[in-house]
Amino acid sequence: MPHTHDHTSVLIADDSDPVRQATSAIVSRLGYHPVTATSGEEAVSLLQSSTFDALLLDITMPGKSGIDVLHFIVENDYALPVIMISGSGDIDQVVQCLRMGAYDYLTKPVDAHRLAVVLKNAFSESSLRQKVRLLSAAVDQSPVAVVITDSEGHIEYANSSFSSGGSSLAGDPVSRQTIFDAGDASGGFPVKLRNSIVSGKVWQGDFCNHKRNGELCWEHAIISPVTDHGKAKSHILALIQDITQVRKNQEALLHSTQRFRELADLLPQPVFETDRRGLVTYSNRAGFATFGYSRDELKKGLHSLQFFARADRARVLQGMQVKKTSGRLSNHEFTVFRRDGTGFPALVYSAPIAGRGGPAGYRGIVVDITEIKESELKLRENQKKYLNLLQAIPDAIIVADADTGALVEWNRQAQLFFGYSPEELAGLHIGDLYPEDLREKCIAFFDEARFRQSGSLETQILTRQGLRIDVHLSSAMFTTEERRRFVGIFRDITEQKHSEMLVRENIRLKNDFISTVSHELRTPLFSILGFTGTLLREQDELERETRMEFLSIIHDESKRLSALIEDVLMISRIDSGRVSYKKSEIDPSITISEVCRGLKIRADEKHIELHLKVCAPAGRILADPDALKQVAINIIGNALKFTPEGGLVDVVLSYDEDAMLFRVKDSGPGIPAEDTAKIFEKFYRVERPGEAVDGTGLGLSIVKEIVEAHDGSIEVLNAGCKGAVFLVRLPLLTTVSERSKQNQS
Amino acid sequence: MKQHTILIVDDSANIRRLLAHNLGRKFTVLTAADATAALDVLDGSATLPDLLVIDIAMPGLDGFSLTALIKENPRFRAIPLVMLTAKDSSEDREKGLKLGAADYITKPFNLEEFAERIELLLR
Repeated sequence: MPHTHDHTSVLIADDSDPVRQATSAIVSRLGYHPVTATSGEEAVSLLQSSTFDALLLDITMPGKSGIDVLHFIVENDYALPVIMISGSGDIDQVVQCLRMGAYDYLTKPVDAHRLAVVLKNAFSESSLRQKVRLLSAAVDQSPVAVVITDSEGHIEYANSSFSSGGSSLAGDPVSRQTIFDAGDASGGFPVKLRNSIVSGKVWQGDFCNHKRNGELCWEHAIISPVTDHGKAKSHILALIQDITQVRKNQEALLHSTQRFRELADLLPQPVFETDRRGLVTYSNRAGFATFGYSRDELKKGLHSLQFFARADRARVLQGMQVKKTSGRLSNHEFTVFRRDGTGFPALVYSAPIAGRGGPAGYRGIVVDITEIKESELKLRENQKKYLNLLQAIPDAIIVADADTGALVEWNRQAQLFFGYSPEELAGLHIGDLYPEDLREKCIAFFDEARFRQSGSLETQILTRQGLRIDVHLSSAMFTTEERRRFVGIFRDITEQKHSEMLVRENIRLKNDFISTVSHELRTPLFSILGFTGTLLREQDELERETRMEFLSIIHDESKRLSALIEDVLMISRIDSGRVSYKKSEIDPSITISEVCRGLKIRADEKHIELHLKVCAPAGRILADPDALKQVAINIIGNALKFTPEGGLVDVVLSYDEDAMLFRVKDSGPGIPAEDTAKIFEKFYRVERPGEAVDGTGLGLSIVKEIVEAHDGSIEVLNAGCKGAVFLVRLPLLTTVSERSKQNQS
Repeated sequence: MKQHTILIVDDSANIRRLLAHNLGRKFTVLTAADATAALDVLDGSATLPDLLVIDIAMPGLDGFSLTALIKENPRFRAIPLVMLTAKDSSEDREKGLKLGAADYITKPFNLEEFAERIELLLR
């Protein structure tokens, strides 16, 4: 301890004033701080109240002697060096004092030089002692067991940790056991230990041992030879620490690691760890099995990036970058590759492994989603199939949300039918598709679908352009994605409606026809009944001429009735398609001439000139001769009927490039322009004041039917008041040019 | 001397002949072939006929139009009028009676019964 002299205090106890003063002066001169006591009692009192670095103590003092004071010091374990001051002749007492623990002695008169040397020695020894005391206290109180043995291993010192620690490394100092005698009973280690120490090396290691109480424990020991200033080793120092807990912790860690590995091996998905650079440091069994690498290959170095497609690597690194800062688990879909180069789609979940100053690496799991992908693909295919089907259906289909009524899906036909764009349809309510007067009814119809399988309704829709279209609407409800939907199928029934209308019109015409026919039949029948009734009633009264007149009327009306019935039957046969024409190749001029000859009598009766002109060359047509005959009779007959007495009927048969032209011109009153379109209708008669004209009103209808059945046409070329002209065209079998060719060859 | 004169308007000569013969035994019978001729007869005669028989289906002005014209004319309005038709239609019957026809007879009919109905109307 470096004492500055100023602070080094020396207590001087002496009953002699001159000695005290002289000693005090010397001490002062030496640079120490002197404190004086005149008696033993005063010295004890000062020692109790203050601390001193040394005591100069006079042996012979009245009252408490120097020996008494020394006694007090030793008893109370004061650490200060005591230097006895004696007169000459009391050497026995000096010896006693030294034995008691005094450091040295001086004889009176105190020699200054000698005092200086003694004090200096005393102080340095005191400092050494203090050091030793500290060391021994430190060693003694150390939690590490410290054992010092002699070179043979006999324990010379053991601190309290060793004694109390219960280590069985050595018995105890008393039993004179060496530390080499203890330890693992299985042997080996003490021999090695001894050899090591004998050769002057430090031995360090762990060993398992049993405590004295029988508990198993682990200890870590450092055993080293101690040499004294280069001499042969004299002692052995053993530092022993109980590491049972550390060992236990290590084992627990090992166990935990093992558990993790086993658990990871149970996982069917590959689990991996990489270091900071991305080199794979660990993979579970599934990882090796999935990717086809061996453990040796992993040890040689596998970089995690090589499992990814080149194009994906930037994304992988970017993903890691994000994880570095966020540390959150995130997933990414990648194509990952096996050792053989085959790839498969996978979700790679990874997270950084926490380390000092950033991630120590990455840890992750690879989930093979091949099956999910395949089923997704299948799902998409199914969806596509469904969409194609929906689009291909020729009816308009609309799907709407059952709760809100908003349109959610439709096919192409629906867009075309309703005239809306997809964007417009997306904003429509199901009620917007109907005219206002039908809207409520149609919405209610859809609502009914909640309670029934499916249903249909004939209604009208309203297009975007404001058109109302007749539709057959069927609706149903279904559930998809937990939403209830209405589906509506719209079929355009405009055509159907139209044909229904035609059917109705046809029925009406038939009814009209029947009604007209019965009316037409009644008139001649009434005459016949009336005149026959009159003849029967008045047969005796009537004159012969009157009877003849009546009979003649009856005859005419019967003929008319018969003709009417014939015409009606003809028309109904034509209408029902039961007429079969026996078509053959004929020369029409023969038929027409025949008819004209037959009508000659009728013409003559009215003094009408019936003139026939047939133009060359003659063509041939494919026709039923009887039907053609009827056409000619009806048209020429009509001409004769409407031509007044003395008039002219002109019949011309000619040919153009591909048709036969049959033309009949009369000199009658002609046909009013407004009637030319109607004269071919059944029972239509041109109304003309004056005498009724006989006829069935069916003649021209029959002509038209026959001509059309022969692929020909008929028209009226009105000559106004100068008479009517009827023109019938029938196609020729061969054209004129063909005919001329035939003629040439 | 026959007491009453009847005008028959019908486009069919045979019907006119039949009716003229059968009614001619009891009445004086005038005939017309169409509406125009009928009006000419009415306009031209100093003493009006006592009854008119008008056929509905006639070319030109039909029986209904003729009836309407007659009923519009204060001179002819009071003459009883019988409509003849071959059409058995309740619509036509109603139309005729509404126009003011006294009777409506559908062909064919019994001539003796017809004469009796006319006699009844003239009484």
